[in-house]
Amino acid sequence: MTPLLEVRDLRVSFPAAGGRTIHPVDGVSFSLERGRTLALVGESGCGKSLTGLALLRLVPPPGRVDDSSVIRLEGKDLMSFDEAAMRAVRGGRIGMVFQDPMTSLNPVLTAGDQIAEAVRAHRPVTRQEARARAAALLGEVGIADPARRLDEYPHQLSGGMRQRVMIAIALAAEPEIIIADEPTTALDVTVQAQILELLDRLRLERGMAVLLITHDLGVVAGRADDMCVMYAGQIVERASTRQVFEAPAHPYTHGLFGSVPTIAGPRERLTPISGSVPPPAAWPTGCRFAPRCPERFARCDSMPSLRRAGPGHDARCWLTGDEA
Amino acid sequence: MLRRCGRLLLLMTACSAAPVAGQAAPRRLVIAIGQTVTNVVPTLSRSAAAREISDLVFLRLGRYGGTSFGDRAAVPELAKGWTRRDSVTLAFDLDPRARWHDGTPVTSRDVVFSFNRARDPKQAVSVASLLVDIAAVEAEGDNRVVIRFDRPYGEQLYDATYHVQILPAHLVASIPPDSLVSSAFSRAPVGSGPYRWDKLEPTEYLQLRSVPGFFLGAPAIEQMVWRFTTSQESRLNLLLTGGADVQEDIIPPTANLSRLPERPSLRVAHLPSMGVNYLLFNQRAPADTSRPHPILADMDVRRALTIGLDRATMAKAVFGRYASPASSPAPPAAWFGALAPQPVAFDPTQAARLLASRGWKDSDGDGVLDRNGIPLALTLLVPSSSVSRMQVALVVQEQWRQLGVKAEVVPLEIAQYLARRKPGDFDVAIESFTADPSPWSLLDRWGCGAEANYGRYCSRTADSLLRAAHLARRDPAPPIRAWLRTVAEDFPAAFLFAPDKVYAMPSGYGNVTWQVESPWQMVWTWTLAGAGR
Amino acid sequence: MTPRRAALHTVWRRPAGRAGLIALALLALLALIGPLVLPDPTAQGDLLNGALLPPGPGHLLGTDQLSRDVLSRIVTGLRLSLIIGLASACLAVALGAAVGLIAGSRAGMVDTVLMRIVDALLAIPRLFVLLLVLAVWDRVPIPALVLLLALTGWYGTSRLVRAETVRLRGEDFVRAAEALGAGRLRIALHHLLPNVAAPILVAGTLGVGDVILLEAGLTYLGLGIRPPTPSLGGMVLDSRSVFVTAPWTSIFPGLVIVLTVLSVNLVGDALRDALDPRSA
Repeated sequence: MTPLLEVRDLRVSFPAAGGRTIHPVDGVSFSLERGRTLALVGESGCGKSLTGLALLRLVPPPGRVDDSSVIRLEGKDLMSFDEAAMRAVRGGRIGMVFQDPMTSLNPVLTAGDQIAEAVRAHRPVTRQEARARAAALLGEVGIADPARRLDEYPHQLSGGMRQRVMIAIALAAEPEIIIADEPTTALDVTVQAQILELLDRLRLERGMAVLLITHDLGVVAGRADDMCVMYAGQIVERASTRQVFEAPAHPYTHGLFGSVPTIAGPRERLTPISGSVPPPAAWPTGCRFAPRCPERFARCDSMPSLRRAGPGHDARCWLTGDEA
Repeated sequence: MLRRCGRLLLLMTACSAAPVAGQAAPRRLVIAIGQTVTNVVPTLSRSAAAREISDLVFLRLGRYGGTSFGDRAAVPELAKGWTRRDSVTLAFDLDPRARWHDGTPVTSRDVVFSFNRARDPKQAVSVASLLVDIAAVEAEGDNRVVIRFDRPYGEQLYDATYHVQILPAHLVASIPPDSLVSSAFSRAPVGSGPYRWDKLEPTEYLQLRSVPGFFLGAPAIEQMVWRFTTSQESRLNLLLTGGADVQEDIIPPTANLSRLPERPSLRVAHLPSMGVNYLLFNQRAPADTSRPHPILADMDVRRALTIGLDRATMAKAVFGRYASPASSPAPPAAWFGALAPQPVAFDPTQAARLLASRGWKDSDGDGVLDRNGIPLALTLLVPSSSVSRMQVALVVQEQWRQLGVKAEVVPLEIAQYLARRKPGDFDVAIESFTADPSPWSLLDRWGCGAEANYGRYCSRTADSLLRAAHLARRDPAPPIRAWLRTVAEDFPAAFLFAPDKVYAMPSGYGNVTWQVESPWQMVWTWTLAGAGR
Repeated sequence: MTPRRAALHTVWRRPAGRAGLIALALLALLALIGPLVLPDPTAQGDLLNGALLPPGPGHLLGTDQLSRDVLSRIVTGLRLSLIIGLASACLAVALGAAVGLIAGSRAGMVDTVLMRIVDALLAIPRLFVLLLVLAVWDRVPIPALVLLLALTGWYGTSRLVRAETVRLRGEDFVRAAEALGAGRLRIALHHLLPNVAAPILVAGTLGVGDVILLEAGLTYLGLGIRPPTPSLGGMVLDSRSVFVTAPWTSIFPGLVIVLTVLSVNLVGDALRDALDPRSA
């Protein structure tokens, strides 16, 4: 089955000081299948949010998506679309849920207005029809008394409700893919589970593909079918969630697990990864994780490609098996 | 009604307070004026204020004597007397006591020099044209000057004395005429009058101080200061707060005079001025002066526009009782003003009938008369800086509206007003003209093709009458009377009124006289009441 | 309740806003009905006995130097001032907002060019331009005067709007709107414009006061409203020589100017607060 979305060699360029160019997203490749969730995991600054924006070609200027990137949606390359065609894709075929619903919702418009706007942007419906559809959507995302909430402003809603509204907006035009960029980071823990639950349910009901961008491994476990780990603009490990959790192949992934506290099991000392993520201007020419890697050796001075660690499991490290 | 210009006694009005006993009049008089003066050398400055100040520094052969005709046209000043040698020659004997402020005596050489300069159009463009009838000016010895004229005429003595102020030849003759205005002499002029130059603070004030040895009598007031101000309000405020002693020209007199009791020592003086206000009708089309004006070329229309105005009420409303009616170009205060005809009566019914008889009817019911599709609409130019003329404009507009005439008031800044008046780019202009004591000087405004005849009025009859008056040797009154009547009946303008000059000044001065043609000329004869300081 | 009605309701609830609305409504009523029931403002009564009468029966606010009824003149002048002031302020604000939105939402060359033009125009004093045009153009009709005032008064608003737009462009909800497929025009009108409403409203209300004072200055120079049509500013200036002896001729028109500008400002302030849902 051809993947719904196929991303090959996605590269985003930004002009830097001194006339140089940096690539916060540097040759990322993955694919999304219908009905499955792919998690894009990494620390802040690794380029995962930018990847999500790049898919919709919404990279903020002066950044731009390199022409060499390939983003194939059901076989058609989005890089060749003009602005009008992209506008049809945005929301119509790929929807996006943003991180902070307080700032992602227009404070001077009601919830109903904003959902209706998403509806009317893609379908020629009347104002009343859009409003009815907005009410229905609010019900679908689990908001009680949707008719009243339609006329409320974002500041009158709780954090969880705002995020549900955002999801409703993303769903309004019935897209096939949802990109959720840190959908729960700004929420309380109790609400987090509800939102993730909701996303799952909607994915199954509508047969959508979900790209879940997060830094929280706890969110990934149990929600994502597959995951990609990103570091310094590159994908360093790619496999099904189970495979990564059971046997992480990349030292960085290893380090991530080691630095996550667990409630179950004996109380062990946390082993954080030493150092911090280097900025794009300071990336080494070789393996970008090498300066912080406890397993570093001489070969790491040259950039490794994604190598096969197992069936359907790749890692960008000289320590793994053969070439992918 | 005072008709003679010349020496008038101070008029005390009811609103002034009685002088406080023992309050001494100061030996310094501060006058607030609305202009700035930088130069008082004769013929170098054309502003009225500069000329008034100049008259105290530079004397003439004779002072204006109250008429411009015959032997009483002058009163001795630098010349102690004169004799008529024949019908075209006058000999002047200089007063040997006359001195320049630097001590040197005034001689015939100074007089000859001054006259030659004044008669040269290149050096004194405004005065030269008034002296064309003088053939020669020669010295006979140090103390006598003989002036010969081209032909016999009645204003010879006036022409010989009124126009030329005498300059010191020993100081000015050596200065090239073009550089006189910037010379040291200009900055500190030396004259022979009762006051000498003291100092000038540019844009602030100008100060003169008295000459104790002045040969006609030492002035009692030791300092004369003219303070320059910009607006009517600031002048009044200066006066009321004591920053100035005198204010010239209180406008509008009615409202502001009621404030004078705020400073109890002030009195009001008013004298008829040599100015006439009138609505000048443009008789040529504004766009093309070779063609007649479509509305105003018709004399009956001009007549109707004039008699349709209630000029007496207008005068009272704007000036209170400080204006007299005018019927002709002659100011009532002039010596020949008495020869002017009576003003035409206010008769709106007759005006309406006249307009109708000339074909002006309101055919479309919009309240404005029209004829052949042209409405009776006129632009009325006013200089916006003149508060009284602006008020007059509004009253005229309203009164003409009741006749069915649509007047559009166009307030203009003074430079623009002059710029539009000269080429005749107007229908009606509200003019205020100050005349010289000689009726002959009115030719400049009312003569055919004259330069200042902005309304382009032309009557050969009138011109020949005025010329006859100029050449009359015995009695000029009949031709002048005839000229005034001709002009009045041609209605080249709607003559409105002659506003008085209203002054506010402190009490405590005696022997106060005002010269209508130059108010401060006799200030050196005023006495100080009380013990003085 | 629609948001607009909700906004007006909020304005009413605040004491300052209520006062402003009432005052403005009264003034508007006066301006509308006054000229119909009051005597002719240009009619000069008895010039000799009726001039500069203090307020009393027959002339509620007295008469001026040409014995014209001060109240009638104020009411007619108010009508003219309101029309000119509001019309030109609205036009100027619309123009400035349009330019500012375009410049702010389309970065790059368009923004730079537009803002440099605005900078250059701001360097020329407004009064100077007005004087130049009005001095050359002889009898300016009122609509042209309104247009002229608007064309010279939009620069500040455009810079304000442009700055706000640039700031908003970086806001997440703009990105979110783009993500749902909204077009540029829709984003500008639906998302950006309501958020810049606050500075626009304030700029607009200040503009009304500016215009009323400007018109007074122009009338003094003979370039604005021609006599005998009354204008509030013209009345204040005409009567300054009798300010001490007949204060009613300048105090009342001056008060009306102050009241008008104040009430417009109060309503504008209250509206701005009302339109910002966070402070409701």
